[in-house]
Amino acid sequence: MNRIAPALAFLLCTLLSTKSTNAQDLSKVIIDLELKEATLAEAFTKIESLTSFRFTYKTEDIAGVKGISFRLRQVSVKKVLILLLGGTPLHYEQSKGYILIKKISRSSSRGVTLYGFVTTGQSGETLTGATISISGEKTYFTTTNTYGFYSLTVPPGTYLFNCSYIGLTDLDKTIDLQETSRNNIELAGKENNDLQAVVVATASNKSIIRRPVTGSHRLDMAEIKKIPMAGGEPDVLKSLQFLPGIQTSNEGTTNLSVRGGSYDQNLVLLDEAPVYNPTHTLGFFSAFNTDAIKDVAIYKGVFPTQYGGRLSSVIDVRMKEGNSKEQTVSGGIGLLASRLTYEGPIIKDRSSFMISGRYSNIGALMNMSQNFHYLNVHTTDSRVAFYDLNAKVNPILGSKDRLYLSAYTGHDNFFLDLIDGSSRMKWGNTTLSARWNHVFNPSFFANTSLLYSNYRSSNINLDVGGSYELQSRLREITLKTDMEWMMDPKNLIRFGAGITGQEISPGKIVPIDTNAVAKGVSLKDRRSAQLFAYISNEQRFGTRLSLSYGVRATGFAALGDAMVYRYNADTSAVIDSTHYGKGKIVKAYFGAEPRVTARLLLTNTSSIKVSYGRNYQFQHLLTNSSVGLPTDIWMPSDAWFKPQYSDQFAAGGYKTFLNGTYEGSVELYYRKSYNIIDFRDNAEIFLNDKIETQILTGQAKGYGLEFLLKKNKGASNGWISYTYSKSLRQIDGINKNQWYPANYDHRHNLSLVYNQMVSRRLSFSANWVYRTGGHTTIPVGSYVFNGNRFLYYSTRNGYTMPPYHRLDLSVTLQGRRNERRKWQGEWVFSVYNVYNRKNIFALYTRQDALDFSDVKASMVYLVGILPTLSYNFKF
Amino acid sequence: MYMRSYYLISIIFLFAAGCTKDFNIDPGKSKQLYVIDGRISNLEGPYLVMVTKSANSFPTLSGGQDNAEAVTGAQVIISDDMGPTDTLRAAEQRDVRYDPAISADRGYYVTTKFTGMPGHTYHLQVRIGDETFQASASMPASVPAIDSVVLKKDLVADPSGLLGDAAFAYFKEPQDENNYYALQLGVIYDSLYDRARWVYASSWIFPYYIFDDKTLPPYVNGMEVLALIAGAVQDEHARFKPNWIIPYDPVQVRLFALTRETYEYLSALEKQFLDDGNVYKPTPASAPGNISGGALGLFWATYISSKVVLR
Repeated sequence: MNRIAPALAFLLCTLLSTKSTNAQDLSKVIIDLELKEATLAEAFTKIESLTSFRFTYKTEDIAGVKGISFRLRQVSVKKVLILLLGGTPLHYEQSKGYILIKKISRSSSRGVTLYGFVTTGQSGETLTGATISISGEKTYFTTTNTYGFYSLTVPPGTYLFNCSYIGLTDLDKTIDLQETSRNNIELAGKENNDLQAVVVATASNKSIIRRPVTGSHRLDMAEIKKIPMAGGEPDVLKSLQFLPGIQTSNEGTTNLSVRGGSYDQNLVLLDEAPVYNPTHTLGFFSAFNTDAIKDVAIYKGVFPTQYGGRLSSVIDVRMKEGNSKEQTVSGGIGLLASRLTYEGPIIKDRSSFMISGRYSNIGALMNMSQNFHYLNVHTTDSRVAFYDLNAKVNPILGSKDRLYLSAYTGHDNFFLDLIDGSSRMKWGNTTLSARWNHVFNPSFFANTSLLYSNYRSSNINLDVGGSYELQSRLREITLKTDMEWMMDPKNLIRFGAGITGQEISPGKIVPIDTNAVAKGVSLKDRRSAQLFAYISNEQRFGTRLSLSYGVRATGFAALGDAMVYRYNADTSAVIDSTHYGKGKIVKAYFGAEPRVTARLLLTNTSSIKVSYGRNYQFQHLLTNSSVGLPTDIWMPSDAWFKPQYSDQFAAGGYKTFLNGTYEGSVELYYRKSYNIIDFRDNAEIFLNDKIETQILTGQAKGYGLEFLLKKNKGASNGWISYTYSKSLRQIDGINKNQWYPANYDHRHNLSLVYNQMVSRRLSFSANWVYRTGGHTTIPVGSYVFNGNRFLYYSTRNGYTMPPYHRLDLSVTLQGRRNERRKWQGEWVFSVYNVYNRKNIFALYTRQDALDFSDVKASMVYLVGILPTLSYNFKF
Repeated sequence: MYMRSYYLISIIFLFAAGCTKDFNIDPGKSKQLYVIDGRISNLEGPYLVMVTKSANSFPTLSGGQDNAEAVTGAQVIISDDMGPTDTLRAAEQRDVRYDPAISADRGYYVTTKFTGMPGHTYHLQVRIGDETFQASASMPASVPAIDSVVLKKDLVADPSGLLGDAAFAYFKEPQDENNYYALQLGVIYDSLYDRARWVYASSWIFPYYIFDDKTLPPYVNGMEVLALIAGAVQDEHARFKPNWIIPYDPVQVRLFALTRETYEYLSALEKQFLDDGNVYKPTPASAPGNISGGALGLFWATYISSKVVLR
């Protein structure tokens, strides 16, 4: 055909158009087609020979498309055209019996939007962080937001559409996008339940390459549950410790030190509501029941602008929404805790509920041990118990609106004579989240949240005659709205604003018995408010460069009623005081947090990124120990406590190998923090209304290099992570004003996580960690005072403890698959600390218990080898 | 190691106490420091100032007694800002007030002529060779009188009731000021003296129960007199317990009014006993002494009220 052919053909067509309309419907004309190494022109000729359709095109437009081979039986012409044109710069338009093949105009400014929600086919849960890519002449890429929503605006055309999520089977299809359309996706095949799915899964982790975010990880519950844990209790926060740049000050605890920050600099969100003490049993277990959790994401420094309020990290934990397909009950009986979860649809595929509970077995086991061990005189009345409850309902109100209502409550009761015979602690969090998603239009998504968090703790002093209860409480309420606007194919704008009010009652003494030698005393409540707003843009420049830039701004006010003291130079005496009435602003601060990340795509499977971010934190945790007690008090900024802030620079290289089977990354960071606090030596913090006199402020810095190599699919998978890091603090008044290492400063940190599917029913997991020892303060000498020997100290954290290493193994045996039976069970046998290493948990020097004129050093180690058996079920 | 008794516990409650074992740390040889430990009170003198040297390695050899390295030949002077100046003399080696079991010179110096007065400030100067150390201490102007002391069983600390009686002190607490106290209980014969016979510094007891008045009601209705006592084999952790009173011993309970400085020092010392290596405890720190010139220790003055109970 030549250049005038289309015009002639069109003329002919209009003149001779006599076919019935049904024969002109592309989707209803069914053909068989076989092509071998054909050109597009040959393909069209073939279709013309099989149907009444006639093609018109410019020869040079289609010249480049060749080597087409396929065999199709009983397919529509429409499907054939999508297959033929997918991945080419061409699209088609139909005009009666004629099919016009056109080149997609480069200058076409018209964009069409593809949007929708991504869910798992199995339970209908929305998927956060699933990657969506649309490939035509260019590749367009996005990830689903925390509600599983995505929106991509692209020029009209025919594209190859791919949606992937780790552990699920990729969805690949060709789509013809001529107008904005909704495309809800269900991904099938959950890896941990079906070995076949693992082998065929092509879960490529494109987001690590393409998203302009540094220092972020996401762990799915399936991954977390595979990691062997002490006592067989899967743990969200402890699992994160296997990732690079994340460590703990004390083994066995859930405390996280992220890139050299202290653990109170981590914002732990459960369905967006902050959880102020995310631990049970004095930090040994995290407050999250893994059966109720969908996934967890961590941002290690340069946060997306919608997050703020802490310096080191944001740990975003999302509860399961509940199975919207069918009702299921699942649970488990372990050594340490038992769990039960009930979930199901309220209206099938439209709304679901989930309720999940967990109760600890520890106390019962412990008191039982008394019966076996008469020597153990101390365990009488020991009480180590916790429970937590999660509940969630999420009605879909319409095609544009979804509502998520979730609640969490967890409490602890702790009395262990071995640890502290004179006090007993109780604490607990309650959070409530109400969130409303609204899709204004295909490229505009909004979420409005009302969040409530309550943390209470009490310490009951059991001293004879002086028994009293010391209570404290924190309450916080936030109203905020977050918007996502896919402005055009090049710009994704996120913005939002909100307000938070907080009230802390730092300490109140309630005498227990009537003739106690204690009276009721209480410290003044501390109130504060925050207003925040943010805006950011994720902008593409050409095909390789993408820039994410934005700013978050927070106004903070400490509110009365409050008494502000002024002190003499060494804060030993009050020289003046000012009273601020209720609601009056005691002190206001403003923090602007610029954040920027640039991503340069080197190839389709590799990229480099650089980023900078500033973070503000308007509260401090007053903790005097390395792990922290549940009774530690959060203190909002005020006239004395300036807000802490930090600057972080991070850069990294990212690559996926072998079609996404492996992903690797290297990241480098440097951060500096200001206005961090520590206590004076021998600080007096008990019910101190002049707590500022006991506190010193200073700065901290940290830098490090992080490596991660992860195998995402296949019967054997897992990861290796290595971190080299340094974390230092400098506070005037501590360590002679010199820089000193933080106690969680571990130079080398290596983790290996390995999972092996042996058969459909049997799988095996192992992890090994190695860490340079942490730092502690040891005495330089001793002296006698009043006949007893005491110690004196010199450098803070001057002693490096021996290295830590440990191997854990677990074997999971799933019950026989039986299609007729709904019950699915699995046995998990795990061994913690396989080679029984006595790692140092704590090191101390103290007077000999038999003779106070002698001092000696001792170490405390946790349990040696610990085998555990647990049983999980689902029906 | 008392691993056996904790073994089952550590299996069942993984981490709570785990196990402890001795650990060798080399603190590095630092310079030995002088230590000055002296006290003035309103009770009758002589008052004692102990001058010793610190040890720069551990474990320290233990004889079950005061094993400090004595500093002899020091010049020790105490002056009262409203009264006399006293040059102390070395204590007699066999004085029953200073533990007759040790006959060597132990660096003990005693006052010769004055009695402490509430509200007065005392200055201490110690000269060792060409080094001079100084400190001053004020005696609080008041102390609550102990109304009564009751001896009774403490069935919480000793469910068997066989160990003896515990002492409970009753006194009025002034509410409009910040006060700091210590309680001490002793089997005392000559209770008028600051250093009473048989109440010498001992290595098996830290005798002061230190507290402030933050949570004290206007009338302290029986505060138990506790102490840290060594020698309980079962206890890995030092803990406060009653200094059990065996029938027929005369006992004296003393209530010390402390300055804030003394309170902070003694409570810092007390914290060292209670540090069980537990990661929930603060970073250990030196007690903030008041001796200038680079010596460790404390020079303190206290106003004491007391009550003797005869049985």
